[in-house]
Amino acid sequence: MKNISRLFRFIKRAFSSRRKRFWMHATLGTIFIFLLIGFVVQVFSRLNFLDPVGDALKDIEVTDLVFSRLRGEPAADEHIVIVNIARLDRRGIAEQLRIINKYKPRVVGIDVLFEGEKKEDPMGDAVLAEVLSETNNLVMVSKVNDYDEGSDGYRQLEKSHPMFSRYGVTGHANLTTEALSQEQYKSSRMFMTKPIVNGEEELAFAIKVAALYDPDAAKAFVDRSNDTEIINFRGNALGGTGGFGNKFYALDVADIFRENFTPDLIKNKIVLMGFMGEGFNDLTTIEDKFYTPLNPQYAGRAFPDMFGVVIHANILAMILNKDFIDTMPAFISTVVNILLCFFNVVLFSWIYFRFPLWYDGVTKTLQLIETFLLLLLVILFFHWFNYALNFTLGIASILLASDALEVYHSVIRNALTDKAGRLYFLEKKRRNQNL
Amino acid sequence: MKHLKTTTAVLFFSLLITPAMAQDFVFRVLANNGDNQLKVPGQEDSWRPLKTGEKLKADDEIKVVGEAYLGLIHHSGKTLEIKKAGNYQAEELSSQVKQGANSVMEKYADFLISKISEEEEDVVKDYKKYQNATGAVKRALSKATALKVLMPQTSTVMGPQVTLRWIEAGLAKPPVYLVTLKNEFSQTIKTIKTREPFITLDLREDVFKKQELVIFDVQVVGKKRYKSDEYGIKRMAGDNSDQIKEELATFAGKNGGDQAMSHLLKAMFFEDKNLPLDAITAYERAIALEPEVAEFKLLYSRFITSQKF
Repeated sequence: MKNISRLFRFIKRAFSSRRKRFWMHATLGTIFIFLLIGFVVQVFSRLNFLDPVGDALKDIEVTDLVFSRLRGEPAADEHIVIVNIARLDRRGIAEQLRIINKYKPRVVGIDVLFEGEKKEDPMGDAVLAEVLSETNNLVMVSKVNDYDEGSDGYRQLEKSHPMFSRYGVTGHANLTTEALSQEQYKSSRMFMTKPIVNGEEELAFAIKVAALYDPDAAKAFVDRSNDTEIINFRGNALGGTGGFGNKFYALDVADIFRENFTPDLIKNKIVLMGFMGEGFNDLTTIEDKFYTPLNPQYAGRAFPDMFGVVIHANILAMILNKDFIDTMPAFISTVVNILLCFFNVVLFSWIYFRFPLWYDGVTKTLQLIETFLLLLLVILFFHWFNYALNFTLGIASILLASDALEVYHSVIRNALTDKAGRLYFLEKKRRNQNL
Repeated sequence: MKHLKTTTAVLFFSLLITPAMAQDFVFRVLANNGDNQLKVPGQEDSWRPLKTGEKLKADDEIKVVGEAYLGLIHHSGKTLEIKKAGNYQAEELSSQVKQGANSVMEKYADFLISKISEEEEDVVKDYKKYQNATGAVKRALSKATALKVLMPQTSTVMGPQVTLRWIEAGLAKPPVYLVTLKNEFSQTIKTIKTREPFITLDLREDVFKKQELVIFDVQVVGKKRYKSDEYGIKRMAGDNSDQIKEELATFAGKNGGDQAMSHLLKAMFFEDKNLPLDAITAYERAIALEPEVAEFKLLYSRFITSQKF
């Protein structure tokens, strides 16, 4: 009791000068707002079955808005041709590849894992193996599995059956997503560049393709030395839905079999073969389809908009065009967000004391303006510099500041000072002593 | 001085010419879905199928058909999608691309305005406006997807037996294929249904005996979009056929008969004589007789891989 009394006397002395009081309250107000944010996040994370909005919103980044609505339209990529394998069996894929090889592509990437031998169609396996052996600059996909926290690496590298994977090189096709399995809902914004598998690096599929096509561009990308990279999405391809469709040359099964394309489309280009639906007019198949920032519905769950092979094409285009995205380091982001909050607390506190009748109206208006301006800053930095600012916490604190500060000043501040906020038991004790 | 004038003149004219030469097309076809067509000026009546990668000049006209889709890349790098059926001049489309440019600030302002002025949706209250989905599926006619037959568009054969193989349709449920055989006047002479992705014809049959050319196509029964182009089998002329038979007899020697090795030898012979359909027939027979022999499959795979059709 004595100690609590001493604590209150100390705080009272600390608040003795008016100016000191103001800055002290501004600091405490800032802390209070971040504590409130933390509390709200904790509560809603435990009650998230009651919060479908929060659940949906946690899946977006502000830069999703930029990708889906607000950036300048990127040019189509002319290095890459995406070929749909649809539901063709191995013999069909072999026939597609045989036709493609006639037109002498520079690199061929196959976004298919051929697991095991097909006992019911050994001829199909034989033909596929033969065609793969004849393919120049071939890259096949692999998959890293079984993460080991101890070594911060993976224990297993899954490849196609050796009769196929012995040709060409492999690159992992894993995409960072919240899905626990291939069949679940999955969104994609980033990928691992070079995970370690049993002590060895396995570069990403797109990096391996780029390395064969343009070694300098691939090296410039790898030299960034980032373990993960945000995908700078250029656009979709025919057969995909969503924003910025049609940024890659794309050929369907019939186009290949009928050779309904000009020879120079494939000559010296990169050909990526993968699944893009049962045909280009198939808009309902969602196998290997992801939700990306290009989705027109940027918040909340929506129909997935991009096939995996097209995501790899986007990564590849990013590497070849040196169109990387840099992100604000976490430490700087934290400092900037704290300063943003502090600045607003100071401003709002000043308004609270100087213009109490105008407090609600003015602060709400300022909140809106600041939010729009910060969002604009994020967009412009992204558009001009491919730099992702992170003001999420700062914006959240601004949006909470007005109401949170009212709670702070009217309840917490008064409880800490001698303005009608004395704890009842201290008052009672004093009365008893006086008696 | 004289040289300077000449050099200046050459440079001046090359500056004029170079931009024109550098841009010899307005659009290039990025992606093409459907029976879209192209007409080039000067060829009034000839619409022809549009190819992906094709370059379009200002005067070219394109026809987007039915529910088709066309993606174009402008020479500036911008792209344009056409989803509505109709005829379009390349030059008119080019002007659309130039007009469409929006700065980021304009897009942001439009976005804010749209969000501010957006009316809140109330699906329950305004239910009559929200009836765009049904619980049924549509099965519309759509462009046929090709079934690829493993042979050139037209192939000369010695026969008498010919195996025609095609790439499977890749459907979840194993399909039934319908092979329609016609004479050179496009009259149907025979139809064959099969669940296998191949058939073997005997050209000695009465229905084929008098035909110099047999045209056929393959389609999946009940799924019109899975259909092949038309292919032609030309019977080899009598003299040539006799000569080939003689050479084959010499080549095969004592290895005649219905053994796997003899068919393999025949396959290699036909391959050498550039008779791909006869070669395929012989390889298929060899593998059918000895399915466990991996080398036969390897040789067949190499043969297929090396073909130019």
